[in-house]
Amino acid sequence: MGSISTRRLAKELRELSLECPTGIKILSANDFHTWRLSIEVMGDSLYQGQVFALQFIFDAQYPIASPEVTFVSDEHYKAPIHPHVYSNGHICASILGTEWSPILSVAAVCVTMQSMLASCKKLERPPDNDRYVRHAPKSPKNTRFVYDDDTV
Amino acid sequence: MPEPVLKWNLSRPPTIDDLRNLECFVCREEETRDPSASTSHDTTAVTRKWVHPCSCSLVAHESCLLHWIARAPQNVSSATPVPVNRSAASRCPQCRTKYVIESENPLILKVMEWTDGICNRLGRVVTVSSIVGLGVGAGSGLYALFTIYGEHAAQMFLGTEAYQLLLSTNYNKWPWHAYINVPLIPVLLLLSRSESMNTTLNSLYLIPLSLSANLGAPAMIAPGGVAGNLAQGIETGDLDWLFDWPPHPLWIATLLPVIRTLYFAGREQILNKILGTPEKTDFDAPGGAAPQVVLPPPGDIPAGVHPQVANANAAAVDARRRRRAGVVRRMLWDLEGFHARVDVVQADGARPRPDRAAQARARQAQAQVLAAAGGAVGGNVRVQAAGPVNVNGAANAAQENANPEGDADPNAEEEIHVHVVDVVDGHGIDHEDLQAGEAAADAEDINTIRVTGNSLGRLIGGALIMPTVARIAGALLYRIARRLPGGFLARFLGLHGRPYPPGFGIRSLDPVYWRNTVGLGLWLVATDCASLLHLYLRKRELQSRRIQSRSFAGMDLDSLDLVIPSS
Repeated sequence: MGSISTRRLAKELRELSLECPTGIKILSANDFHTWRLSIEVMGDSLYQGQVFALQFIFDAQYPIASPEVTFVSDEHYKAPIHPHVYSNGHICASILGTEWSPILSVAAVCVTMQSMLASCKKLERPPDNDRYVRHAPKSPKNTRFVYDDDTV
Repeated sequence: MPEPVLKWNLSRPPTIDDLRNLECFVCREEETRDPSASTSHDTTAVTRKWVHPCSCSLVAHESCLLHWIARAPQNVSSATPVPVNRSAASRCPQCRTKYVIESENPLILKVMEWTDGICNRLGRVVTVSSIVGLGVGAGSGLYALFTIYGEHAAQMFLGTEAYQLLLSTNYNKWPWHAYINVPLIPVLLLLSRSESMNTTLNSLYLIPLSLSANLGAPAMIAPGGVAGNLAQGIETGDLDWLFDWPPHPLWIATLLPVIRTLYFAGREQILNKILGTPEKTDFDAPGGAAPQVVLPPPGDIPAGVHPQVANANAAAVDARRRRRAGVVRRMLWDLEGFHARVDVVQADGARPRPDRAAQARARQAQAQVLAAAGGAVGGNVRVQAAGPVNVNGAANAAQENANPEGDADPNAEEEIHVHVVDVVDGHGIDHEDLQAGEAAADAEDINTIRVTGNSLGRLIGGALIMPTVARIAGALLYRIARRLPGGFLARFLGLHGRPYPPGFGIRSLDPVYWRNTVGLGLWLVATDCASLLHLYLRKRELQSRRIQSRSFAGMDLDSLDLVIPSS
């Protein structure tokens, strides 16, 4: 019993609870709809000592459809200051949009986010942050991002 | 496997059949093939076909991969499962090898897809020009614009003579109601196209009806100077006009709804027979997966994002659904390999939940289950059920499965209602899981149909061009009838002059309206046939897709977990 999406998520969760990539911890994963994981950038980086939380929202089409991934921005966690992360937590990353593939997974997304933060050279918001945040849809999946930076 | 690795000892390169452990890169399910101990991790997956479509080590279920190819989220801009060559997922995500996919894709389907593409592009042009036209019109008088079009349509359909008789090209002679009716013609035509059934012909017949004064009282022939009457030439109590050939417009207008109803019933039957698609399952399912038009406020539409017709949950059922169903129905036939969705909603899920925050809370306990996705290609599963079904067992099992620490979600303990929103068969209907990638974040958006700029333009353009189509088809019939020996068609079209002298109104005129009606009727039937064929071919193409498996030649064979045949 169970759909492809729940079976696959169950498996991913099993694997994550056995062994999480370094710097990544499950905060909550009580259903197959919303998961939260904390991520920390290991080694030398601009984000040393900071812990962020990633929120994953899955739909029934997962893994055909990409999960909705945002940085949590509430009283406990803040979205990292990064040229590809808006202050509302939305992330402009092609693997969450057009470059998504079912070969990716929750762990793979977390690791990619880690390396995106790790390679950051300058702490700044995206240039259009204020405008975007004012008009942003609830789900970043309804935004059409233009992926202009191949270095991430 | 701690045992020493045996070398591959056959002369042929190993293939997918020689692998011991398989893990589908799409669904992550595993299968172990061991000749000695034939155990399998997942019994449900045993019979599913595996493919190795590329040059790296990734393998997948064929059905999973086909699903991914047909509806990768990148393809959101397309309303239907994309042809393989346009799918963004037609390459291996790891080694970028292009998949080789075979399917029945005859030339005629390619031509049709191409034509469809052209129409879409034209549709975009119409949308843009309509918007521009409306913008200009708003300034200089939408009314005038509509009136001009109404005149044009009426003349096209009726022919100049009859138009002169019924109305007049001189505005001063128009009866007062013509000033209302004529500008309504484009609106009428548009509405006729957006209803569930195409009522274009009926609407066109409203033109002569609406133009003529004193419709219900044939005796009261309009006095000279004022526009003529459709019933002119019919004496009160005289019934011989019913036996006129060609039929009188009043008579046609009476019979058309009957003919149309019969025709659509027949077409529906053929459609169901060919496509094997159950009628109305998806929207009439209990619990109401009602299609609903969600138009974001204009200011909030980011460039390239279109108004969406969303298939909403029970919570969002609203009065418009029946009417909107028409819009959706037309596009429904877009095919999908498989589609089965079960919405599991909390016990209190039936009560309307208008705000999104509340919906989000409800979703805590809601599992959207995509069932039978893999194996159902070509299958004909049809399930329909509603009402409270206890799925606690399953839900809990899933929860516990997910949570080895026993940290079970309290929600899962609650009684759960299952709405089978729609479980459509392998020939499936839903088409917008396609863009699940974009829209499915909200439960209500899961089954979304888009009205794109293209389709809107096709709708408007298609509707407004109908009188012209009728005129052209009528003229074509006229020519054919003139040349056809035997004169049967000419007699049928009433080209041999009328038995009535002038003064008998439309009965004495060349029956342009009649050949236009026949012509448009034939055109509508022909387009229906074409779209039916298109759907059938597309369905066949989708179902016949097979991915070619490659051997592992050229790879480091030691890295593969192969079942080595004992020699």
